[in-house]
Amino acid sequence: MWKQGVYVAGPLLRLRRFRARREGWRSPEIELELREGELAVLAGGSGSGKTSILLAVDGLIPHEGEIRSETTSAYVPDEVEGYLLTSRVIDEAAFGPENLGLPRQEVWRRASSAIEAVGLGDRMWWRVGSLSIGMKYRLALASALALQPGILLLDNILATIDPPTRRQITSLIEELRQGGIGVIIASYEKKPEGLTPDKVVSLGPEESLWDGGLEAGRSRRAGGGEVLRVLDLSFRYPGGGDVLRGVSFSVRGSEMVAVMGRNGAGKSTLLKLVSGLLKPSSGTILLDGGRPSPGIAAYIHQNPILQLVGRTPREDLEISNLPEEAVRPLGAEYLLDKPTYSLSLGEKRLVAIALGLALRPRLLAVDEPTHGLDRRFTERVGEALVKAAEEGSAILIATHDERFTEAFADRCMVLRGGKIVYEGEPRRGLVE
Amino acid sequence: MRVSRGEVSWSRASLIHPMASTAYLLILISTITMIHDWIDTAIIFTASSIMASKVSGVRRVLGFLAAFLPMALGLGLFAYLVAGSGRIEVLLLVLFRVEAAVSGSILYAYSSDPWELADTLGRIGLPVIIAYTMALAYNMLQGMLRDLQEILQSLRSRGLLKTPLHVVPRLPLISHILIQLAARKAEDMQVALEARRFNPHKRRSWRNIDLKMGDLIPPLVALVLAVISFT
Repeated sequence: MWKQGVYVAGPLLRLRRFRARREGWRSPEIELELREGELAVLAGGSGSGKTSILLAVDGLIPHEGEIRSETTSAYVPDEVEGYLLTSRVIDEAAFGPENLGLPRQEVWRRASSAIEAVGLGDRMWWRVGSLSIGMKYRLALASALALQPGILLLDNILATIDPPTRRQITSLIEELRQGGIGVIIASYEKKPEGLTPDKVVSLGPEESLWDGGLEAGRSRRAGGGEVLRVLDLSFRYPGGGDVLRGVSFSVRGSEMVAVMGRNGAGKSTLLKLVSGLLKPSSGTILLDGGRPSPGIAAYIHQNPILQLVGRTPREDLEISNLPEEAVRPLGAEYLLDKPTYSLSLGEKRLVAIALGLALRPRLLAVDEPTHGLDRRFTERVGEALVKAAEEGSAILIATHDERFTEAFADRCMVLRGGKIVYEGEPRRGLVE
Repeated sequence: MRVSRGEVSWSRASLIHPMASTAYLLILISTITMIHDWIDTAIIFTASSIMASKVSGVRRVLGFLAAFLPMALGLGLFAYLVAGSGRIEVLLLVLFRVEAAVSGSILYAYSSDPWELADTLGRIGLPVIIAYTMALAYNMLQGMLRDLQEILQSLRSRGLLKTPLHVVPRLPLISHILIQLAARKAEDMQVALEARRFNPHKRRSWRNIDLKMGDLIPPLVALVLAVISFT
């Protein structure tokens, strides 16, 4: 980097015996040197301290150990919905420069060039709410870039997006590296697909990290009778366009079917419809020969916090009159007496899925079962769903996790433009 | 965006200048609280609904009015029974008051950008901390309203809301989830602000939040209706 007219080839960032500190907790200690254009992966399972370390590097929470930085940094969280605070694309990118109290011309220059850099130049004046989730991730990156950081701190942003969006984001990261920006990305993978890391810092545990596909296989089950039949189903939200158009399919008992598609393709809507939580605009849904209703079907929301009503998982079991054994298939007994608010996203998801399974529904509709889960938790969820299928339930999952679908689903449907465009054997690369 | 005298000049996000919409809402609420003629209140309700429809669309306005209708009718019925005079006008007055307040609030909520509102309030002397707290609270409220629908669906799915009437005994549970969500959102918001170096004392808005002639229409209409009602 250039410093007082002289090119200095030293590291942008040096961390020695560095760890993040929160009340009563310390992250694992790490050592890292990051130079211009380098990419470091901070690999670790759920709750391993990845987020805290990134926040501490950005100065947002306290740390211990040594940090020497020759430049500024900018942090992008894994959940961008809560990060975007303004109403228009341009306002969001200008938010950081405005906070620095920069002159108006400079705010415009930084905001507009950051938006161009992430490929949203033609949507500069759009409402943030009208963007797809992939565009929202790009906007979050633009918002961070507008601060003109030397280092980008990206918190597991590749874990929650569909494969095409993931490819867009990874190629953008590679472009930013070409421009000299150092990148630290937190991930469940040591080598995230599409990226070529220069350094890997592993926070463990090793069994939580992805290293290729899942070993667990689909269980071989005899096909049961038809549980769900959907005929010519269409749906539109009031005041909105068609989400689903003439969708028809069926699911048998003991069968696990994955609904795939890009973010916003209508997967969650389809699951809510077959669970009886939404009414179709037209078409027929037959669940066990009758109308779908929450008693026969159980829907597990993609955000588990919306489903857990007790102060602890044990209280949630009591509210639903379920025994303690209900959480055993997911290995979540150790969470029973922990305050729900203190659980990680992955732990909350385990409890929410356990509650859904314990209701023993004819149809279990699970929305994004692996969202926010590391390898260890993903395997547990997959095995528990397979077991429920073996006991006769029909399982319908909405996901963009190709590894999970390949390992556990019997069949796969791909939604595009409100229609099913593929139905058959699960394999990679279907969501294009 | 427009460029004038070599300086970049930003179009604002608010459809109506935040001060104009604030003035409109204040005049509207004061008027419908003070007048006691149901016909005048119905006229104000009609005018405010038309203006709200121009800003946010007819469907949305009708949706909100329908959602608040049971509450408006319930309050109207209560007032009718308490008055004991047997006059249906009492019921109509309360009904139109509630619905006029709803349509006025729709115009306010959908025409004002929370950050521009905060910047404007800061410019007229309101402490910046209060102005930005209002903007953040407004932002959070919008998100929580979106989540409420999802919470109800999740509870139905768990068999905890078998009929709409079950909402009443489940209110403590619903409140518990909402409190948890609010805490999580507050945490996310804090990270989002600090990560982008938010400092209310240093922050400078980049937009021109100039008052235009068209912005004066809603408060003027409200003022004219108030004058007519009082005379």
